[in-house]
Amino acid sequence: MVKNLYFILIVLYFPLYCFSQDVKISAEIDPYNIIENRPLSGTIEVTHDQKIKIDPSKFTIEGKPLKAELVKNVKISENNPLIVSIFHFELPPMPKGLQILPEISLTVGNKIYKSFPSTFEVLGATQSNANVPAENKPALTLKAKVDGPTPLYPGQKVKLSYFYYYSGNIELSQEELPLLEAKGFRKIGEKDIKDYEENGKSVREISQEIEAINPGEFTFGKSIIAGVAYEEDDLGRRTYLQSKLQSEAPSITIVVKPFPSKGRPASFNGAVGQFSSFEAKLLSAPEMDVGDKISLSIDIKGKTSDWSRLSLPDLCCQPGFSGLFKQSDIPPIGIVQDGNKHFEVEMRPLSSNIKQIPSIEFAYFDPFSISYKTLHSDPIPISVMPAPKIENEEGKLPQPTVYSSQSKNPTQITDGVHQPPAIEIAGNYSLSTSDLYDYTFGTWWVFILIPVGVGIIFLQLNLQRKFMESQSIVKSKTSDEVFQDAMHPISDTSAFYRLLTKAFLTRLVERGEIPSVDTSVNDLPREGAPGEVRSFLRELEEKRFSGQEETSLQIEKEKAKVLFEQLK
Amino acid sequence: MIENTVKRIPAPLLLFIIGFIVALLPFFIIQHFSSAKSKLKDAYENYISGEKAETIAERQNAFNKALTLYSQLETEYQPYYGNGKLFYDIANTYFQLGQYPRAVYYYNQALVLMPRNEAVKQNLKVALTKLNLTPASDDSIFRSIFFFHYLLSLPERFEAFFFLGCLVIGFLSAYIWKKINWIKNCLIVFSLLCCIFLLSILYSIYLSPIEGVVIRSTSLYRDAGYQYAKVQEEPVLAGSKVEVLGVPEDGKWLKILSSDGTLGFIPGESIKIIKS
Repeated sequence: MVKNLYFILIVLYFPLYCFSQDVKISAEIDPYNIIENRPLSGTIEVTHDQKIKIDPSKFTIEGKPLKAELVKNVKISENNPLIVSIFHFELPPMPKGLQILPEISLTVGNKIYKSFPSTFEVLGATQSNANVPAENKPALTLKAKVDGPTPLYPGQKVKLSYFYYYSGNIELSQEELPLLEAKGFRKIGEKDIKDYEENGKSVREISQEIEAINPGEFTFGKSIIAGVAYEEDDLGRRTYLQSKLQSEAPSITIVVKPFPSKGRPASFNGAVGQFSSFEAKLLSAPEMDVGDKISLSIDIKGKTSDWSRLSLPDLCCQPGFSGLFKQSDIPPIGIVQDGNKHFEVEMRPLSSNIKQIPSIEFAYFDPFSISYKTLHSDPIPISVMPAPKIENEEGKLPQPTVYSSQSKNPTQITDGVHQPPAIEIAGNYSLSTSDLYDYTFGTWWVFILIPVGVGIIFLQLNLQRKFMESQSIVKSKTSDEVFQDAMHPISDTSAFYRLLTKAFLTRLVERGEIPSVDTSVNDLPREGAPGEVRSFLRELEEKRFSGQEETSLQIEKEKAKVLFEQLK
Repeated sequence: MIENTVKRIPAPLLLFIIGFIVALLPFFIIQHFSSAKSKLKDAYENYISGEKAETIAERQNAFNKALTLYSQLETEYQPYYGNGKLFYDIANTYFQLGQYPRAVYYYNQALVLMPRNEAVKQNLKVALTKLNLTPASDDSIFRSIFFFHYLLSLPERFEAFFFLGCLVIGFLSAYIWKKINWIKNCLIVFSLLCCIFLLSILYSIYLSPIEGVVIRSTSLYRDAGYQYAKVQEEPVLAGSKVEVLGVPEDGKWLKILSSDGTLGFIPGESIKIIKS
């Protein structure tokens, strides 16, 4: 009964104990590389709280230290403090057969944690992939291909390609690819290498574009590739699986046919393709003088494998050109634009008898019909005049003018082709450095005059205003001075009365009796000193307008003096 | 008191005069010590050698050397507000080398800066004759009325504006201090002239058409690209003067109005714009 109880408790308690452990450890041998006489690699997984640091040097196996390397730490979840630390270890080779991986111990602090022992089978070396399905076994196949027109003619291009079909990882130890050397052809650009998947297999495509130069038969011997399949573990270490893999592609012959000699036009210069039009147009004026430059544009439209090799026929050798036109020494460079090649040609007419630019023949070889074809441009009517005479406005030939720079010029040269023609224009100025510069006041910066000028004017206006204000505060005459002026003999009696009034009013202002000299006499107060002045001035006014001013003027002056003295 | 004050020169005006003189000094110094003298001398000597050459090869060689030097000077100094003589010399050199379209371009460029120079006009006429082109007629009522706009180059009008502007400022300053009728009359006249020249300058800058010379014969296309149809079969001949109406975004094609009033597009490399 007691034993049963203990057993039940152990059964119930043990899982709880396991779950409650803070460190758990498990170990196994990697199943992909268990081959006799080869080191065994294994993995230890330690689940622990992230706060606990696991020391890799604390692993032991069968009481001996086990060298382990940390591969990585994996967090179980964001909210879970537990992480799984993965370690890698190696064991010495074991013989073929069923083997046991003993428990592996880990010491953390004072506690020892152990993994469970496990068993594994060590395979013999020849049985390493015995259990691998046939479709997954490593394989290697080579194919070669030539893409392009057939037959080939000089100047045409083809693309040579090799295809490696393989599965698994293969390390190549031999590659003999004579097609890529392309002896006897001209390589166009670099090799193009592509990797992709096709029908579950990996494919590597290596291609090279080439151009036929000379006619002939070119045979490229068989192509071979060879290598060894391998497997790679997590650390990138390779394990080679079986014997050598090899594949061959048969030899290939490329035939470059010569252009047929039968029916070859005289103007043929190697153009190959199918062309639809050949047009020539005049770019300069249709009327010209002997020796003047003619510009022609020539457009060739059609299809060819290599536009860069397409060149213009030699115009000098075409009928109607030789001896009548002088070609430019510089060969025209064509511009290729979407199925069209454009040339611009310059030439000069040598005779005034020329009536047209003759039709130009363009010959090409059509590889599809295996025949030569020609296209012709339309003739272009032109009018060529003899060398010009420069006339003045009166329709007369000008008298010879000797320009200062031409004073020692030799006499007129009549042959305009081989010797320099006569100078037709006025000569150059002898320049000085001042001729290289802009006019000092001839550029944009003169506009700065506007804001500067406005500023100067405003400053002056401001200055003037302040000056005028200061001048307005002019010291005015005193009452005594005005009275003295009034007492002077004056012919104009009205001036006397005006000055006298001003003198008295000024005196009253000085006394503070009235606010301003502009006060009217009638507005003066009637009492006090202002009243006396008011009475006196009103009396004067009455006498003045009554016609008595001349007789009483002196008397009034005396009275005024007395009153003025009183007001001091 | 007022008379005494008038006799004093206002300080701001004095400062302006001093600053003006100081600003002019560097121009004279730089001109005096320029290193372009030797290039100019060599270019001219090569041109003269070209005129005197007895064989085509010698002539070509001499003119090519002269052109190289003139072109270097043009690139270095770019005297588009100068007297135009450099462009005239370059035009002559191109003419001597048989490059008539480029000669026409440079004659037009020189004419912008030397509008009254008969030698430029005559040489331009000869170059156009070489290209079988008819010189455009200059007679119009606008030329008669606004003769100063056509007879004076833009730099000359800038100069006229500047000097008239200085006179206006001077007379206005005097009028502020001395209200005299003859000063006022002079002020009105000079102000009017100054405004006329200012308007002429502004017209040249903002309203006058941009012109160019076709230096390589080309077809006229309906839009900016060779893939478009041609407007007309006849090409725009090299040496033709055209009006530039616009430049599409990529700047490789220009929209032009030819001398016969046809609108179309031409490649940018076949035309040179006259800088005015």
